[in-house]
Amino acid sequence: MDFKSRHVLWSVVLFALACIYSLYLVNPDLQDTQMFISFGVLSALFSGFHTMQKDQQRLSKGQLIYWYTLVAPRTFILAKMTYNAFFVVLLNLIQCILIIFYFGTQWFHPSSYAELILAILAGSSAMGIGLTMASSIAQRTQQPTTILAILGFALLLPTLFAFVTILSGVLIGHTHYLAWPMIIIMNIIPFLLSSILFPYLWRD
Amino acid sequence: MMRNWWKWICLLLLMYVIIVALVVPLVPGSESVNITSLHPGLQRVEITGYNTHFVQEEENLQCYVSIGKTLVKGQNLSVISETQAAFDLILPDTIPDKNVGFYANTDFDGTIYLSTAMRMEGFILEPNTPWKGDVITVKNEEQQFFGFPFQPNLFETIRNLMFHVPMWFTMFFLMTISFVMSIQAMNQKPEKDLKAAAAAEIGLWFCALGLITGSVWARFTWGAWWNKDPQLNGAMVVFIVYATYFILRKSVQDEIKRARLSAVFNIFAFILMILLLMVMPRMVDTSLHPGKSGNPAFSKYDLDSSLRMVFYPAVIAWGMLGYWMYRWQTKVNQYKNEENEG
Repeated sequence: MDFKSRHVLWSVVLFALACIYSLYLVNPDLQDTQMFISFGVLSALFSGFHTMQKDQQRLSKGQLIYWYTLVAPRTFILAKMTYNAFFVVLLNLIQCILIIFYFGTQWFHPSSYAELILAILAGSSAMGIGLTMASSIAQRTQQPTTILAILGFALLLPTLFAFVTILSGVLIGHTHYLAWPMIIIMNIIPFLLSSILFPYLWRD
Repeated sequence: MMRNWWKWICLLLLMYVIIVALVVPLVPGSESVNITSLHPGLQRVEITGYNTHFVQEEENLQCYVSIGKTLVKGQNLSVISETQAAFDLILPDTIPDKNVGFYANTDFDGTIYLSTAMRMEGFILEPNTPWKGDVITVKNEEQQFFGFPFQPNLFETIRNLMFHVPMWFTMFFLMTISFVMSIQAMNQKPEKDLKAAAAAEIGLWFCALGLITGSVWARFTWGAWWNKDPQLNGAMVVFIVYATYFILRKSVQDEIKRARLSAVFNIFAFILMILLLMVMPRMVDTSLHPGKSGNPAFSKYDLDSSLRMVFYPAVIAWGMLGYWMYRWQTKVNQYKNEENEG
């Protein structure tokens, strides 16, 4: 996923817009905070998957080999993780703005804006990093798209738990002190593991 | 024969654990008391015992009620059946405490003590039921026969300790083997990958058994098959992650590539398992699960020698069974692999 193929980039943004706009069409008067949290996280998850699948389809084997002649596999995977983390963060911020644009701000009373933005940053980057790891494992199999969906779901479950807990803590007020360490751990572990393990994985 | 001595020990231990865990009765206890008021001040109290021997011990049975520090002896004691008895209670003029405890004493059953069996509502004595009122703690001392402790709400399901808990221990043991084998498989030894897969497969079976035994237990103690609980959710996520591991394995044909890919995933899954099952539930203050967030578990039962006599062999027996199955599965995997190659 890079700026050379801009249509892919816009297709993901369009996907997010379509998600939120269809929710608006179904129920324009929706003001349930819990509903927005679950919907936002779900659509973030789907657009994340969408990004990864497009990314997989785009990169052919020849292109990958070309990349590996340029940089070390470790550098490549870490750069890709960072890039995808930024991309998912951006996507989720766009989604937040879209939700507020369509549904107004009556439901929106965060206890602290800094914490909300930090939560979106941490949660989205954990999603991006975890999905990149799942994607790079899935890419080596016979059916990358199917395996990505299964692997990504399994690897992201703890992240999703923590993300939803933090968001409802900020917006509704059942803060849980454990969710923050969890989401930070889910940011760090895939990063560390892939920097250790991926040099083994790309050796063929 | 001598080479497989540990398998015989495993079988013997398993037989011992299953027979003892299912056959040994609970020590006598009492679930609840019931009160029918005759007129103010005089109450008829009916007690329902569990595994008690009231008929056999009719002459020795003594019932007391404790209000604060004063003990009141029950009058006109009549035994209805082995588990039911009734007595008249004349309340004292002054009532120093709201909580009313209850003692039943026989030579054979020992002393059954319910610390908050009843309570005073104004001038009326009301029974506490274990399900609605305060938790009734039962102590039983000096009983004459061997049995598992009687715990309110748990009752007979305390036997699940010999099945559910060792199964999770075995699962941890097998997943650790799988983790170590995966690390070795990464370091130029792809043949260890088959061992890692075998350990994870048997571990997944034990995980499923742990989920099922836990779920059945929860139905009878918490009243629902599944609860929103960090321990339970963590266990379910671990099950899904390890199930995914096998889907990943099936989707790669090349042997060396499969070894590397599944090793990477297995290492990640193991770290997730440690986080989800060992770290997270211990830090949460809203868990129902025994041993978590201050709930009673081993530390309390450690005092009880009857449970320890079965629990420790159970851990060893299920662990050995898991290891045995793991070796078996490794052979199966190796044969299948040779078949595919040849």
